Amino acid sequence: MGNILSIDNLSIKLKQRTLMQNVSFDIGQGEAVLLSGENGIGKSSILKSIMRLETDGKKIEGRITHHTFGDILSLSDDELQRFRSSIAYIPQKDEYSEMGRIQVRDVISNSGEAHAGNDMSYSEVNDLIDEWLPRRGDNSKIFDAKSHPGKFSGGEQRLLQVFSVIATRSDSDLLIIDEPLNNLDFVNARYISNLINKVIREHPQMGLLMISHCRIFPFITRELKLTADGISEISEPYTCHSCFGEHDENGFYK
Amino acid sequence: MKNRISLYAEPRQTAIISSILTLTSFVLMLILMLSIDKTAIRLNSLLHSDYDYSVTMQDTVRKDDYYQFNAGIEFTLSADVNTSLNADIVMQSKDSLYTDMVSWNAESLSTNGVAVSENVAKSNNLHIGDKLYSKHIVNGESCEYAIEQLLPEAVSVRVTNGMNHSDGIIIMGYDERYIENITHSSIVFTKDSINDLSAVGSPENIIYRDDEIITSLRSIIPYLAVLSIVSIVTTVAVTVLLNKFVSSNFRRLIMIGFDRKKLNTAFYRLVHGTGIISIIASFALSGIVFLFVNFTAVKLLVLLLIPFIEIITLLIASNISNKRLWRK
Repeated sequence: MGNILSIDNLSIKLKQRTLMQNVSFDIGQGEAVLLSGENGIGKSSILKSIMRLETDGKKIEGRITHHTFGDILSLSDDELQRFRSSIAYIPQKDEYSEMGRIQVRDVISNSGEAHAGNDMSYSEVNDLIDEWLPRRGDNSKIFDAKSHPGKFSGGEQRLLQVFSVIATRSDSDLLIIDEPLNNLDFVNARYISNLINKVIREHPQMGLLMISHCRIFPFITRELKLTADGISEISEPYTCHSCFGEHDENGFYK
Repeated sequence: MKNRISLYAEPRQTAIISSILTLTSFVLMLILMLSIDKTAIRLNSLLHSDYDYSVTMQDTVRKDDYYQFNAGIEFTLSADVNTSLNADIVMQSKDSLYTDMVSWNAESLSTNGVAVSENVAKSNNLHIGDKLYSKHIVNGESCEYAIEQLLPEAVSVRVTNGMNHSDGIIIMGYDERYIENITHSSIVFTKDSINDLSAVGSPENIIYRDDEIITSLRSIIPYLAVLSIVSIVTTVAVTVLLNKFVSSNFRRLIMIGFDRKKLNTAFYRLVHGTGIISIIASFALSGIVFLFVNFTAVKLLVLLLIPFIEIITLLIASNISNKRLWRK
């Protein structure tokens, strides 16, 4: 299978300080790659460099090549926005409490609209929620299209953020997730693991690049470890140490 | 795809910010107009005059000249009141021709007639036909003077660096007894050359109209500078706050790849819309207040300065804010 993304000799400098160097790796179609490493080693900086976010004051060298868009670091402003709209990127945290009167529908519809040009109604969003997420024990939705995420708990906000991207961009060729399990309890962590599993199973052309310190994801195919000297492939198979209960033969938690 | 992108600004917060800008802008315009009211009148009358310079001479040149007396002539609103009107007082000469070279020139007045500048008349509720009183300097008797004409707004006869503090001008009709008994000189407003004037007398104390205009403008500048700075600071603060309200959403929409042009349009629609509506509202409020005073071109120009500065600041500050959002 071909590569979706190739990173070649990436180095990031902030003023005179080298944040990382000699980083090279590829993400192929159907691969689910976990990027691990100590806190502060620069894992999120790699993801942000791929998306060309928060680059102010940073010197990024090397080459990041997307199979359709080419060299990401040399894209024009308009091409960059088109690239971002095509990727399913989930950053560490969205501050919904600072987003005024935004509703669940807006979060989900915005993601779909930027990606595919489709504005979604409340009922379409509710249908999507039902399609992708289980209902609670009392048969209520985990969230409703009209609810305000600013009032959600940290875990619910995180679930919405992951859900909004995965459910509206399942046809993307690249899914990039930064710490999907932040702030999550066991139940929501299981929901997210299942969401990711569902999208990569149903769309085998998709490549996944994910940062996580939790090792609960049964679908990971490769693990890369980032250190101060560069990036290296972990040769042992990824082992899932789940404290969330047993998953089935397809990697779904119950 | 929807044509409009929303940045989900909180309407209540936006309304509060808009009101703050409206009120601040309105108060600034009010302060500015009150601070420079007299100078604005002075500038307006200078700009509507056409003489090159004014001089003092011993005798009349029979054109656009007035007698001024060393002895203090005062006018009161009634015979038994001692508080006099705060005005520059000059007397028409006997045969002078008064042209439109001086904006506040009056037609020929009778001996017991006076002309009063409109600002003095308004502040004292005086109309044509009303009486003013002055103790005759020659015989000490209280004389009654009828207001025969109202002059355009004017503050003083001449502008010097020291700028006198009169509120307006009162022109008396020619009175022979004053000329024969009291030391006086003539103020001549003219476009003739100094040589021509020297041929008929000894011109002294030359003041060019251009210098009078510059002196007047200089007296406004400190007020304009301070109030402009306050309006710039307020507008920048409003822009920064509006930017803060939507920055999280804006960044989220950047990350998910919305079209750059559409995002910028949404941002500028919010910031410019809120700012410009507030600025127009404050200007309209000021307009309502100033309906009750005489509006001149100079006053209007000065009044427009605050909204103009605010709009320019808004455009620059929003542009910088927008670039910072994209850069970060």
